[in-house]
Amino acid sequence: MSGLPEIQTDFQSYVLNGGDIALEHVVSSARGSAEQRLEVYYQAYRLRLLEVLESNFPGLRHMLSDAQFEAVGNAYIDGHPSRQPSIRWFGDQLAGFIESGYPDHPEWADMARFDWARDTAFDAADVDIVEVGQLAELAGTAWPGLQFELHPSVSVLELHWNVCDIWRAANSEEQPPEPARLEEGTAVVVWRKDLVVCWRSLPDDEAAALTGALNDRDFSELCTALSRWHPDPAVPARSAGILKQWVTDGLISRILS
Amino acid sequence: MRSYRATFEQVARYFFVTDSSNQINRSTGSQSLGFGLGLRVDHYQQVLAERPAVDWFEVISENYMVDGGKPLYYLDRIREHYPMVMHGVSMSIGSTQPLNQDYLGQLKKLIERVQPEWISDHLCWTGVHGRNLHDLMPLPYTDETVRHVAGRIGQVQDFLGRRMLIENVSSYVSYQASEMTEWEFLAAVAEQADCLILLDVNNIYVSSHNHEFDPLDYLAGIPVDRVQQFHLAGHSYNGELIIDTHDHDVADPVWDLYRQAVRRFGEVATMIERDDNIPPLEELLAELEIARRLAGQVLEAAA
Repeated sequence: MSGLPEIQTDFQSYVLNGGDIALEHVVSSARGSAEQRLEVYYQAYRLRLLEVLESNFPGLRHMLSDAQFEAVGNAYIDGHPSRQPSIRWFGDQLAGFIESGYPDHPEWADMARFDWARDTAFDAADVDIVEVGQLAELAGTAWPGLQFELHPSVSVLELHWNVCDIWRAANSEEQPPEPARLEEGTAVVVWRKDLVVCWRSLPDDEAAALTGALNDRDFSELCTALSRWHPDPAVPARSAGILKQWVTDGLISRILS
Repeated sequence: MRSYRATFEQVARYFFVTDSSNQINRSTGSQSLGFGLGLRVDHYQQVLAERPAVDWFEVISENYMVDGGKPLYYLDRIREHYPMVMHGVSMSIGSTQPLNQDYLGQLKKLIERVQPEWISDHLCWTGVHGRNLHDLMPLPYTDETVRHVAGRIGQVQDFLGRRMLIENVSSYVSYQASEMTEWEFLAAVAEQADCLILLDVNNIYVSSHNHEFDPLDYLAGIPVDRVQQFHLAGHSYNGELIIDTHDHDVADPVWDLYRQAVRRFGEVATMIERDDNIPPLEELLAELEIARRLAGQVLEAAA
């Protein structure tokens, strides 16, 4: 008689890979053969995970045909079985999987990255954000050394396709544009303000500054980064403008002086 | 509809409150929570805005094992107005791989936040060798499994510092290795682990069809004093087998079985579990009224 470890190993193997190894453990009856009964679990496993991918990747779901989404989803399900207790994390490697597995469709990988950044922002930690008034209270001498702790929901993506426009149109049930490669303005910041997931495109100079802030660069280093785009006299005004925008958007959770 | 409901509640209150013996849950000696619903995202705002006449909500624990944002925002606010119980799907209490300590830590943290009336998970396994199949896989009903599962429930109860409820699952296979019926297995696990039982009436019906046993034998085999909660849900046919899909109204044979369950177990906290094809809240409230009415009739007849 088989023991529990062997039954579970064989049963799981059937659910993941099919085959006939688990058949010997299961009773057949008129109502269903062992194979028909095991098949219920085999099918339900794929169906459930595919549904999770659909809900975690609404943009990608929209961009792909039913058959394409099913093919990509099932390939991912077979290649990346879940190791997490919560199904919420299923799909965490989908963008990379698409990037390497479907090189003819870089727009799919971009959309998967965007969807996942939105998912991550959706339930990132709640922390207070800095108000504009707090900036005014800082001593002038402190400014060069200021560092900015960003809200945990903030991520900066490099997207080369118009996936944000497609996502927005699909979400408001409008006719989305055809996928098109972007000429410029490829950086996007995704974050959550209060309970709402937001995003906007970043000009190149702001993208460099925000990436710097994410990497703990101080204010003087952010200004140095900006000087690549602006003559020195214009840098202070531009840096102040960018910083004010970040605070207004709710991107900054703490200022370290 | 609304005025009818209010009237009925007054009547129900008369039955349940004036006779205090009726209000005591025979199984645990504690008061029954009454009639609840599974809390679902689609209903968050309406629940907060309208505070429907639901006695309590059950939340899926894993849905709130996140750092912040909407899930925890609504959880906290709805908790301010309703008692809650927590229902997990990933404890994998029957697995032969070690219990996931990280998961249990997250569960404990969530318990501290929610302060639930009780917590539950399923009498099943969800994966081995580090995988999670995200499905409720059936166990072979053997003495070996009883000892294994009861020992692990003991570990969880020690870690959490509280008793837990285990729930019977719907199943589509039975194992050659099984040495006893499902109800003997469930009863033995609960006795050996000294835990409580969440009896899913729909799951009993589904499994009784799939494995051709009499659901009344199942009810008769479950110790009355351990049943703390009932689940009701809908199901679907897939050829000859019934699948536990939670995407339909509760079916008539399940209501019949619920009557029998109330007759045997008394007034037990009851809730409707809807996980897919989620209808407007009003429909679930109306369905919950059916449960309230049926339970009231059975208890009244027995009084």
